[in-house]
Amino acid sequence: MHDQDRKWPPTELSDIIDRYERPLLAYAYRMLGDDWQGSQDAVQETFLRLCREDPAKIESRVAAWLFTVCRSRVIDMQRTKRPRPIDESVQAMPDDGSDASQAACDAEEKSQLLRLLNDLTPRQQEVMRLRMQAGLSYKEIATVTGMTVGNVGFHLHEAVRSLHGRLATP
Amino acid sequence: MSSNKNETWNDPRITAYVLDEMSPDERTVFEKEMASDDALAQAVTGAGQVTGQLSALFEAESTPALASERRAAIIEKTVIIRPKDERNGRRAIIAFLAIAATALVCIGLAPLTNQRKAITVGQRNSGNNAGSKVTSIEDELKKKQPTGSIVLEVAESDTKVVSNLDSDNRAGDIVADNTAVPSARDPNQQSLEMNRSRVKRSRLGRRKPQTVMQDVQMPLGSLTDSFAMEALDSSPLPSRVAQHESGGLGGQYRGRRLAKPGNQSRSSGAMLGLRPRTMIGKEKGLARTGFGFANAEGRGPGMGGDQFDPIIENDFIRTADHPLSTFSVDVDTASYSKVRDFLMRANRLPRPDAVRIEEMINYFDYADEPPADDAEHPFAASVNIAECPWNEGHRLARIAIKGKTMKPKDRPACNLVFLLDTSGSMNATNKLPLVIDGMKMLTSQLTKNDTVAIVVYAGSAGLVLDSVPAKQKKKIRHALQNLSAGGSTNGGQGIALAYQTAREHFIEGGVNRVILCTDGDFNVGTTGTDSLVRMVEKKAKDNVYLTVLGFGMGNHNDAMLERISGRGNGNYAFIDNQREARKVLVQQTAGTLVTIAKDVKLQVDFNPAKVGAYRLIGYENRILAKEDFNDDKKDAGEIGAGHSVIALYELVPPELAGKLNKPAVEESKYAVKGLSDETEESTSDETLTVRIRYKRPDADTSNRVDYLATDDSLSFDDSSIDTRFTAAVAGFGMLLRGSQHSGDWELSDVLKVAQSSLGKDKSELRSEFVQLVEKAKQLRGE
Repeated sequence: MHDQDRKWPPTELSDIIDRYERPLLAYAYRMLGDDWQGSQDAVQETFLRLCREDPAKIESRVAAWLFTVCRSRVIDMQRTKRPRPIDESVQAMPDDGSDASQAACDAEEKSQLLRLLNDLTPRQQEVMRLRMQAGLSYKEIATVTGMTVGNVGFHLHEAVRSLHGRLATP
Repeated sequence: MSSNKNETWNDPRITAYVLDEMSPDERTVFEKEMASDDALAQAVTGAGQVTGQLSALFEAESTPALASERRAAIIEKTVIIRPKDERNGRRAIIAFLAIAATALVCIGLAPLTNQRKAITVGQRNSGNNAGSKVTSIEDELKKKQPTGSIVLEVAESDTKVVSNLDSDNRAGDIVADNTAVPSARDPNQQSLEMNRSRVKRSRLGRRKPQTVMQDVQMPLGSLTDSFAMEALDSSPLPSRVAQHESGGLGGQYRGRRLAKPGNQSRSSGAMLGLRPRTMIGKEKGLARTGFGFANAEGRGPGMGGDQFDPIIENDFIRTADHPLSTFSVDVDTASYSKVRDFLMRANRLPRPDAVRIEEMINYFDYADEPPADDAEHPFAASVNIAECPWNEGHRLARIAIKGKTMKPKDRPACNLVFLLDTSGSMNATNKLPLVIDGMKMLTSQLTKNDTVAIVVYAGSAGLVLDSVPAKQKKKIRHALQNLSAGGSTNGGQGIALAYQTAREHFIEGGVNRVILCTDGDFNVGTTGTDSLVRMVEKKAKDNVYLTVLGFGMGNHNDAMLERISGRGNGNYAFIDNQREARKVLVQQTAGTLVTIAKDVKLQVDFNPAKVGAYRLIGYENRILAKEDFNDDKKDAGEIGAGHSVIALYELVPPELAGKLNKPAVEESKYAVKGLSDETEESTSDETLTVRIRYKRPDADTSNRVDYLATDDSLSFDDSSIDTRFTAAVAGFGMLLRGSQHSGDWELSDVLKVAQSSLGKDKSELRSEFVQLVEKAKQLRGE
């Protein structure tokens, strides 16, 4: 961006990408419906912005910074979203390995949990994912979403509570 | 029992504990409580089970990594090194190369001698045919290009190289040509063959052919050194190695076309380092079933639920083609509050169509002089022209209209009807409660001459409080307090009843106004925007005015409210918080309630000798045909007491107008020539003339007043604080809209100009604007 800015050492950048690409992609993917190309676009753009940033300014809060930028990028994209043709490159592939009956059983359990997750509010789903999948702290989630820390804790707890209630009494 | 259990579960610390989000102190306290409270301990166990299952679920959903060329594109950004920091850079390159290649290919660049070179290391999807491009690198190597950058694209990224070599010998082959390949994992016959064939193709012949096996035995250092020397000696070579996509589909994810194990594309899948794709299928299912946030439409701001009309930005217009620019004033401020709500509360960039630049500009107070008390016209106008800060050579004309101010005691008697939306959608903290607070604030500003009625509408409309004198504040408050939200929204019926109530208590010579508070989510009865607009327009003919106060987000129907207020002789504000309610309903009571001029139209006449082309910034939905200016039947905007209306034109001098990317219109050969070319006016110094037409609030015929402006070649830095601040707001609006006309401005320029033009800022609105710009910068990652 500016000449005087320090650049990211490539090793560090590479580490950051390794560490955050999957959580960011998972997050963007969810936010964008099931647009895999779009979520890659958003995440790439996020990292490109990171490159332009002075490391000294954000080193201490990389995670929150990345998710904040990614989030606004994704929201931008949601607005301009058009129907897409089915992406041939994203298709299921048989998972070889685990025993079939065990898999069926696991799948059933998971799909129930997924169904219950669906019923959570979008906000609850988002904080849940930021916490459980991206591993952000309450404080970081607060920065990303613009909520207060207390509010983040509340939403997470409400999500856990409602899941617990309904897992217990199906 | 169950109520007890519920109570226990009310404690968010349960989840915080399970998620390890507590400070040690909190933890100790909580653990003590748990020890003495079985229910709590049980809840914690339950929560732990849930989060355990969740993390297993999320973990199982493997998400693939970024496609490798995307990653390469990111890395490239940083590895290109300018001469000035080459020292650090060199170290960085070495370090990076080490990573890129650690898995198998160790590249050291210790003896880098020629340092004025930028090295880009990219990574490509290498496919099965990677080897076929190798000759080109050799060709390139031979050409010594003097410009000084070596682009060396290593065939694969770290982990991928592993699989590459394991399963795809041809890709490994390239590497073998240039560097050591310490891999003995799969030294099969094929690989040897491939290497040999590779060697045959080698035209450089600098190094002896080596099989993979031999490579392993070689000391790494010597080979890598020689590689580096070779690369640098042979100087810059923009070349590409190995970028054939396997599968022939193109695009970043095509490589993993998911075939059965064993056949050829299996290896291409493995090369990309992917986990099995079952998970993507699952993720798809997830998204389809609505786990995805796409479901949030209609709930979150900026999603489908908020309705905004698209705005098509005004373009530059050649003065020669259209010397007259006509539009209606607009004193609404809703767009600014909406933008603020997006940025500060929802932590998001606003949707471009939510940004109406004129409303953002008109949100602020400016120091423009109001007319004297005995002035002929109820407003004063001024025009000044200064340098345009975002486009070099262009000029910026600022037209300012300031309505006369009015002290509360001079305010005419008001007959107000509060029309309040109490439908289910209003049931949110930033909706109905804020409406009630706002109306209480307004009531407290009213005097003994004023009257208030309250009409609510949900599934059906009803008169909650028939018109009572405003001094019965208790009664009004009580009625407000008892409102609750529920049911659907029959906006049409509500509006009809409110106007009828206003008519019944009409005050001659006073202010008769319906104040509509809603989120605009009309879903029962007359809901079509057009029919509602027509209805309101008809009522407005009876001199009952309309104020629309928009509330809340999620299903806020901005488009409809804007149009209703525009047609209904009204104004429109968006109330996003208590402070905004105070601004609109307390500090600007007179402006909100008392109209001093209606159907106010502006027509700007540009002198073609001075202005080659012009562009009106904002007012997109207020443009009028030039014939409408003198047509008193054409409705236009109102100005309230003390209101400021600012319009900005970007002017292009005639000598630069040719650069605009727009062909000139053919001139009519029948047009009377010679008359318009050299009139007295066109040779004068005048840049433009502003004509304003308006009606007094109770009049049916209009008055006209003209203002002339000349350009004194004022630079932007020398222009007034208000001019600069207006430009900053306009620039911010353009950037938020993604306008193509924002020239070389970025948010940092907006910030700089805004910070230097805060003025006295008694209301602190300008400081708040600075915060908004900073927030937008942060959200954009700038």
